[in-house]
Amino acid sequence: MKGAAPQDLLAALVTEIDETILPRRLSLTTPKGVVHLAVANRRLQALLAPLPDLDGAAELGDRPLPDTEDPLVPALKTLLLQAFEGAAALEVSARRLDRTFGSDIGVPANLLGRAWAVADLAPQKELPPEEMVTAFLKGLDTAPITWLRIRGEEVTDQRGTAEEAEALGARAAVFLDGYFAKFEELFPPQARACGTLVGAAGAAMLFVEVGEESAFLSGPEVALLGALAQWQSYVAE
Amino acid sequence: MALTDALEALRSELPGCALVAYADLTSGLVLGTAAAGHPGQEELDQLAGAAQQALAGAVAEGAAPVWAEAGGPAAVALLATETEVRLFLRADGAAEALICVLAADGDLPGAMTQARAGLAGLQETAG
Repeated sequence: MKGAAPQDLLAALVTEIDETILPRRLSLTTPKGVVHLAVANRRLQALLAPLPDLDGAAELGDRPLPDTEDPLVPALKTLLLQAFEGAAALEVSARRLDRTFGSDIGVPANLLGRAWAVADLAPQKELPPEEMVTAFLKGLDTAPITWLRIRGEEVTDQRGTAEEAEALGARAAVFLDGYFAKFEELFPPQARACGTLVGAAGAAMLFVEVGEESAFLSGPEVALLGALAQWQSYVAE
Repeated sequence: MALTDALEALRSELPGCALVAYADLTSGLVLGTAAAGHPGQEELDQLAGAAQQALAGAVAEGAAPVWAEAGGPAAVALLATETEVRLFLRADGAAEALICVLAADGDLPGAMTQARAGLAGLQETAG
């Protein structure tokens, strides 16, 4: 993570949070020590122990952030700005969280960006369709989601084993028959970018398309809901 | 509490929510609505029709192999564009669904949690 000033590094951190869907412990090596953060579903959830030796750390440690309005949110900003002082770049590592919070715990990255008054998080909106889908798929965590990337009617890339891709291709074909047959009942004619998520019993599929570019994804509902939110960060006006 | 009041209470709790409706998936009828504006009948019919397709029609049937081992009908669907996200939640054991029209860049996991929490109360009110 790079930035000319602590506030720039804070903006880079918010972008990092915005790209993190699965529960992760983000560890930032700063000039003032290592700062550990719980992040999931594109939300900052808590400052985790071991705590850095900084003012206010003890009051913030291991306390879930309930919402944007909570006083912990500006307090954490102050602590991070302290930690980032004197740094031009930070090393960031991510690993699976050993303690998970509820999926609705934490402050979403877009709201966090506003609360912390850092730069706009969505410069990617200007990307052309091909780069948009590339950036979207690259931003997804690898573990629970398999996907096919499709250009026109041709599969051009995949995540998962050959066997998984074959099964996913069969599912995509079945889904797309109904989807295209009923498209006009689902979306307004002026829609430019469409995302469709359908699920049950904790499993789901997601189909996103813009122009000739599309992707079919399958995985746990919670992961695909996060993926759809990420997709929206690229396309929302 | 009347259905419309319950829908309005839920809508006011959902950030960026323009409209909440409760619809019968079998008939396609909208049973109640709460909205920031004044949606026309055509818009409500279109929403109910999309809910039917996404939760009980061709789109749901096409997606069903994904949860084939668990079986059962589609329980949740979202239709997203650059201007809005439509969230459809099937009521447990019923042919009815909650519809929420949300901002395009809102907090989807948070909205899903709140909508699910509100749906059980709505079922009691509507039942």
